[in-house]
This record gives sequence, structure tokens and C-alpha cells, in this order.
Amino acid sequence: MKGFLQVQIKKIKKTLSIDYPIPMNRQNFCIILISIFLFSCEEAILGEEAPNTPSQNFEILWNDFDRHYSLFEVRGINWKQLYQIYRPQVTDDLSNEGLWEVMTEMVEHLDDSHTTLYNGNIRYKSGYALNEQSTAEFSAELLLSKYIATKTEVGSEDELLFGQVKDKNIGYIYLGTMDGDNPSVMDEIIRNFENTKAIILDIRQNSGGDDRYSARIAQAFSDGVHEIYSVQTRNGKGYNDFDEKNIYHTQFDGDNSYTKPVIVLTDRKTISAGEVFLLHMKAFDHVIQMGDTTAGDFSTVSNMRFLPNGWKYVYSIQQFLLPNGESLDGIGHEPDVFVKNTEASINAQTDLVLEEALRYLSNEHGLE
Amino acid sequence: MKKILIYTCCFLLLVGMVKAQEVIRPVDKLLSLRVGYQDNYLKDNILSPLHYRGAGLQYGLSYRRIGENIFGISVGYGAGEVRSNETSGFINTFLDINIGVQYLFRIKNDKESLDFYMGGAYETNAFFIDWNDLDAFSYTSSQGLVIKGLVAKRINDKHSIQTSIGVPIVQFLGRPPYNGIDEFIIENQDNPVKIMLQGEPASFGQYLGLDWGLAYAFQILPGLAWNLDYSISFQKVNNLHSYKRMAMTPATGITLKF
Repeated sequence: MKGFLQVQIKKIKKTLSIDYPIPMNRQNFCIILISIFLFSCEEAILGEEAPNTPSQNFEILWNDFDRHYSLFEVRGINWKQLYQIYRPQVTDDLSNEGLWEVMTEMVEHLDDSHTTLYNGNIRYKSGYALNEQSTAEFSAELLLSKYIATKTEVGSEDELLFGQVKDKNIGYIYLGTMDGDNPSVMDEIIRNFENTKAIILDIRQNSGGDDRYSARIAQAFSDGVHEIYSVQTRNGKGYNDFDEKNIYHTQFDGDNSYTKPVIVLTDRKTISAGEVFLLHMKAFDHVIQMGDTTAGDFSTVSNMRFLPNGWKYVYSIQQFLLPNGESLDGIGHEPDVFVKNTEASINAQTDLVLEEALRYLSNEHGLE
Repeated sequence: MKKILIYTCCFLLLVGMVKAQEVIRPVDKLLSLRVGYQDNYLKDNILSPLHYRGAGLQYGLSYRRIGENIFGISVGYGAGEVRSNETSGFINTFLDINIGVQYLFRIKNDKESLDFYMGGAYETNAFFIDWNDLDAFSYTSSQGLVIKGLVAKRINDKHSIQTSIGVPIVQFLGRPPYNGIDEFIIENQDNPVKIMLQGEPASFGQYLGLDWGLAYAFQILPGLAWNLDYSISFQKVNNLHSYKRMAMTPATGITLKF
């Protein structure tokens, strides 16, 4: 070792043209300083980095889910058993395509479309087949051309428009996302509908967004303050380790509230903050849900997670519980009146869900 | 706790050695501006299992009042990018903000051109990193008392060098929650300062830090000096989601005396 250092010192002295002798202890000191501070030995500072092998990528993903995913218990998933099934399928000779197949197959068991994997070209969502299918069971074009007389798009918000149902004193609102900037605009919309007899509030294909936005939109239809749900974020290695419950209530402003009959239309792709919106709305006596069961994915998703091979993923990190302790994750909001479009009905220019809503208002409330 | 006690005792002993110099020194008020190139090594298990390296510009402004003792205030701001070693796709941006107030006592010595100082500082440091417009983020903030030592050597009327070291002892540490996000962050997402400064007292074993600096000054005019600095900062958080960061910053700037 001493000999090696002397050789290195000679090289450095030659490079720097140092022509006076340096005692050996100073030489050592110089070498150490140069190594640490100038050439910055990364491994010495940060430790060893995980190698980019199929096995290591699988291990990182499985362990990350094991330590952070929040819904193993709620969804009845035996994650450790899945390891026993899928880990033997991963060897360091496995191709990228093979690894992708193993990982997506394993994650599919979660049936949680908040769990998404990205490999650079493909985005895969767990349990998303029904959500995907429902896209063909909804047509905004059909809705607006056949059923809605006037249409006003709200400029400040994405996918928010309102109008009046043709030949009826019934308001119609479409809300496709909970990701807007100004949810109080809903107060103005309901003022426009002051003289209507009812409102159909359509959140089919609602892609979610911000739960606070959902709460503020729902306030425009509120009949009071009700405890509706609690949220806990996983905070430990145990599958049942969660932080304190944050309890949420409906918001209420008696001067700006529409309390005549409201029908909320849903489908399988109504998800996340769209479903949180329903938690608010279903607490009100004058509101019913009609359509298909919603996605059943409530939790906030994690930060994006990264693998050494360049793939990314997110997953659920919270559990939402109703006041009675039950969870709707993996279940969704079951509608008060079940009715579902099919691809064929859409192609036949009929929106069965909207027509059922109009029939319901006629039968139950005498609104022709 | 034992380590904190040992450090605190050393600090008190050294402060006890402080005596007023026999020669009364004139008071200098110095304002320094500096810009540096900060090279970062980072591993933050809340953000990612990967290692990151990258650089950015670092700006600093400081005021020092040097008489018998030194009183100083400093503000630093840096921004840049770090990327993972494994793939160039994961490029993260970072912000690095540092604010500090320090008071250093002169320690008596016989050499006129050499000054030793020892004292303390209250520092707030915040490092924020995010990927793709907050699709992933993490942060480390620390506030608290730091033991500081400084040695200054006047080579001649034109040249001087100094080196300093700082070791945090009692710190209030802010890190993301176990899962990176929780309801507190969601509810306060429009108020990042509130999020980052929400922390807990950290024991010496939980949070380790070290700042070392080497500075050279060339007196251009009686009231103006040119500075060349090199500093190293190391932070380590030991908990379930560990964090390590080392930043090396060569910098240059000017100092105005008034």
C-alpha cells in the first residue's frame, strides 16, 4: 500500500512539477484530501447503488409496495404470496418485455387503477379494463346534440359546461374533472338554474383531481354539515400502520345552495376525486346517484417512484373510510338506480342513463 | 444525547477561554456577494432508490461586522438540476436556501496575523427537489444551533485566507412523511414554507451535518476585495428513509468594506 502511494505521489509531483520533497505523512494527507474533496468518491459518500438487473428492479418494486401501498388489507391482497408466485419467474436473463409482463401481472391482482406502471412507451393501469370499456359507453356529442338545448362552457374550468334539457325545465351540468381553478363558479351556475325544477349533474368519465375542489363544488348543493368520511395515510412497515384519522364534513352555505332534486350520473370511469365528490353529494337528502357503479379508487396516489431501469410507477397510499368504518375502495359507489349504456345503445343514438334520469324525474317528481 | 453534551461542553470550555484582546481593533463592516457552482451528490430514499448527481448556480449575500468578535448574517440561494446515474430520463430540479445568523468570539493567541474564532450560529437550511412539476418531490429542512469555528490568516496587506467549520448540534428537522405525502401536505400544498418548516427535534444521531469552507481574499482597493472560496456541505439523516447529500461549491465574489 505504501509503495502504491509513493508511485501515485510521484505521478502527482511530476504532473504538478513539484520538485521539493514532501514528507510521507503529508503525502498521505494530500492523497486523502484530493480523493475525497476533488475527485469526490461518490460511492464513499452515498453508498453502493442498486444494480440495474431484472432481479433488482423486481425486488425494489415489490419491497416498495410492501412498505408503502395502503390497501392490501382493504382489498384482501396477500402480497407476500404474490412474491412467492412471481419472484421465481424473474432471473437476470429475463428480457425487458418479460419483466414488464411479470410486474404487470403481479400488480393486476391489486385491481386498483390508481396503481400505474410506465415503461417509457406503455402506461399500464391495474384493474382498468372496465374503466376502459366505459369510454365507449358515453358520448358527449350525442348528449349535447340530442338532449341539451343550450350549452355554455365555463372558460375558467376544464370540462365544465351547463345547459338546459330540451323542452324541459331541468338544468344539466357536465363536470369531467375535479382539477379546476375556481370551483366557486358552481355558485353562479346554480343561480342560473334558480327557476329550474331539478338538475341532472353528469360526472360520467370524471377523471378525478383535487378533493378540495370536489368539496367546494358539492357545497353548491349542500343541505347541511354532515360527517362523510375519514382519510388515513400509511405511515409504517405494517400493513395496518396508518396516521391519525382526518375527518371530513360536507361544507354548507345556506345562501348559495340548490336543494331541489338533483340526480348525479356516474359510470365506471368516475374515479378518485370524482368519487369523493359523490361522498359529499350522497350525504344530501335531495340527491340520488344513477348510472353504473364507480371505479372504487379513492386514495391519493404516491409520488412517482423510480426504478434503475428507467421505469416508473405510482400506487395508493391512503385509506378512505366511511363513518361506519367501511371502505368503498375496490367496491365503488353503487348507484341508487342502476342503469348502464352499452356501445350498441350509444351507436343507436340513445343515452339510456340520461333517459332514465328524465323518466325518474317524471315519475317521482312529476317533471314533464 | 451523550454526543450533544460532549459538543456543548467543548463549546462552553472554548468560549470560556475567550479574552478581550489587548489591542483594540477597528470595527470593519463587510458586505460580500458571491456566486458559485454547486456540485451535488444526493441519495434520498423518500424520492427514489437511485443516486443523483448534478450542479447548479449558488448565490450568496452576507454581512459581517468584525471587531473584537464577529457578527454575521448570510443568505444563500441555489438552483439547478440533478440526474440519476442509471438513466438520463430522471432529471430533477432543486432549490437550496440557507439563512444564518452567527456570532463568533475571538480566542486569544500570540500571533498577530492569525485569528481564531469560536462561536455559534442559528441556521435555517432548506433543500427542495422535484421531478416533472411535482410528480415526485422531497425536501430536507433544518433549523437550529450550529457550533462554528473560524481561523483567519493575514498573509500580507493584499492577501488573506480563512477556513471555517460548522457542526449542527440542536436541530429541528423537516422531512416528508413516511409515504412522501399525507393529508397535511395535501391540505397545505399552496403553502410550501409551512410544509417544509414543519419538523421535529432531531437527535444528534438522527441528523448529522458538517460545513467546511476555505476562502482566499485579495485586497484590490482599501474598500474592495476579490474572494475565491471553496466549500463543502454534508448532510445525513438516519431514519427509515435515509438521506445523504454532499455539496461542493467553488465560488467567487467581492467584498465591500464600509
